[in-house]
Amino acid sequence: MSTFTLTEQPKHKLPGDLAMWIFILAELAAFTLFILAFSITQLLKPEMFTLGRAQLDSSTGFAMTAGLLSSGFLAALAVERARKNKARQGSLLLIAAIASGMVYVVLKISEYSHLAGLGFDLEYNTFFTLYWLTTAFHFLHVLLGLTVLSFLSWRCWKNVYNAQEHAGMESGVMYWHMVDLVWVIIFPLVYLLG
Amino acid sequence: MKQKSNEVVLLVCWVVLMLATMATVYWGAQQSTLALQLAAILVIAIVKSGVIIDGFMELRHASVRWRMIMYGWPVAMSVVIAVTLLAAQAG
Repeated sequence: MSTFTLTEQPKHKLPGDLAMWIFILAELAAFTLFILAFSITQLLKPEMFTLGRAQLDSSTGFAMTAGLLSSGFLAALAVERARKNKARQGSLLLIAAIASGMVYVVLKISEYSHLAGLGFDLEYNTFFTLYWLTTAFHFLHVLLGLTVLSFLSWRCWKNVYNAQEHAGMESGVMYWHMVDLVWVIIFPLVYLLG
Repeated sequence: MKQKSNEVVLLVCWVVLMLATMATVYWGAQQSTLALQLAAILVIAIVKSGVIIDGFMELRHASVRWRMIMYGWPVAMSVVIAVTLLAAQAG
């Protein structure tokens, strides 16, 4: 008969709070509507989407993706440090994660500015209406995620999180990973395929 | 030791994600058939999603039910994207 000790991890551990996971599922459901709208409209107007997509720069899309995924890596590393009672290292890693996430923000604003300058605004055609709505909805989530990471960095610097207490930090960082996960699907749909 | 190995797992995940993103852009620029391009890019997207879900989100330690729910989302979205694009080409 095996003995369960306090140092053992529960067999099926869900990181963070259950409420955050329910919230993540609700967010994924919301993004599903945008992806469905984009895909079905593309089915109806394929030529318009091919021409619209030609106005987007996939190398900028790559740099934005790299910025977001690197930010997710640094944030996950920060959680690990907090679990090892090194919350101040976690705080610095979160600042690096925010800086990496800002690469996405700067490039996205630059892309929005470039497209708006060429007249490809929200009302130009259906492709650009869905491009602006889908990517702007994601962009707002990035801004909220960066705000959450800033708050967590401040809490880490105050040594709030440690080996025993880190569920709040895990929840915040899970939200940031959800933003990454959504982008992994949106990026090829909007920039590459078709 | 366990914590150290988790950091190594995260580093491997990041390297895989970067390489997969490069492969995504490479396939996006290829003048291949739509079906081949779709298969390559969407399989890579599902692999990347799995790395985020199991690696960064640590759902590899969670119950099968949660993993299926989270894996189900990128798979379902990829199927929708593939079916609608192939139907557009056929139509």
